[in-house]
Amino acid sequence: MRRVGPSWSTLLCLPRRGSGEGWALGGGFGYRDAMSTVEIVGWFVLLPLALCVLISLVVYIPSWVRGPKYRPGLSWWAEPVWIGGTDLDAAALAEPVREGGGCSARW
Amino acid sequence: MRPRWPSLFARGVAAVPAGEAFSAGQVDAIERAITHAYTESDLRYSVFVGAPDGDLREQGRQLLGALGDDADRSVVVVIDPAHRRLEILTGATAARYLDDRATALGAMSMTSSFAAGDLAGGIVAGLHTLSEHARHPRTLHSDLAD
Repeated sequence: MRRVGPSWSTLLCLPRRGSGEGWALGGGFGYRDAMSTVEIVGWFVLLPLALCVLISLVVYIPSWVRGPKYRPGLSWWAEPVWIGGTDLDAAALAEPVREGGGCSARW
Repeated sequence: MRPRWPSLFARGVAAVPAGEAFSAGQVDAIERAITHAYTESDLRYSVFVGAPDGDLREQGRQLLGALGDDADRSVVVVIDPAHRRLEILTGATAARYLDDRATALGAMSMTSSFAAGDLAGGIVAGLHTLSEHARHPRTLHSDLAD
């Protein structure tokens, strides 16, 4: 059965074996060259899929490495954390300190 | 058949990924900033990030109280990302070196980064600002009798 479509050698702009034809357009690069099922699947299914996967990885890998990002306006999802402090459970029982100063802010 | 996930949102499940507040690298950066701030100003800094219920300032005072003897020389930064609130509290001794105007400057440098979605970067920048303003000469020979 003869399939319609370019061959590997045509798509890669390589000379076809045995044909004696090569780079010259109009000589050896006909569009009705035979193509096997493997070639069709490779060019029209696997290659686009591989490109999609590659582009997706390039887009998503930086955010995967950075972890979840805080977005103002969405609810907070993480457990409370006290960096440089003591035990948070003990803090719940502590007596509040009234002296000192400070400030408040919003964003 | 009705889709399942709209009912999840109806129950109030947030459309954000679950996980830790900060990555390991971000925690490292904040800890380095805390250490640097301590070295520069001789005050103890700590940063609480969470969404406590009730008055944020009262929560901060309680955190300050939990530091025990260090509370006087401590600065506690309380950040509530859910409600976009921030409190900076200073202990009695720390307030002598870091007045309310200086803490407001630190808060400003933090909130400008928070509004852009950069929590860790804002904390690091804010701690840097606070420690710069709290810098003071060390008291020497304070343990000697007159």
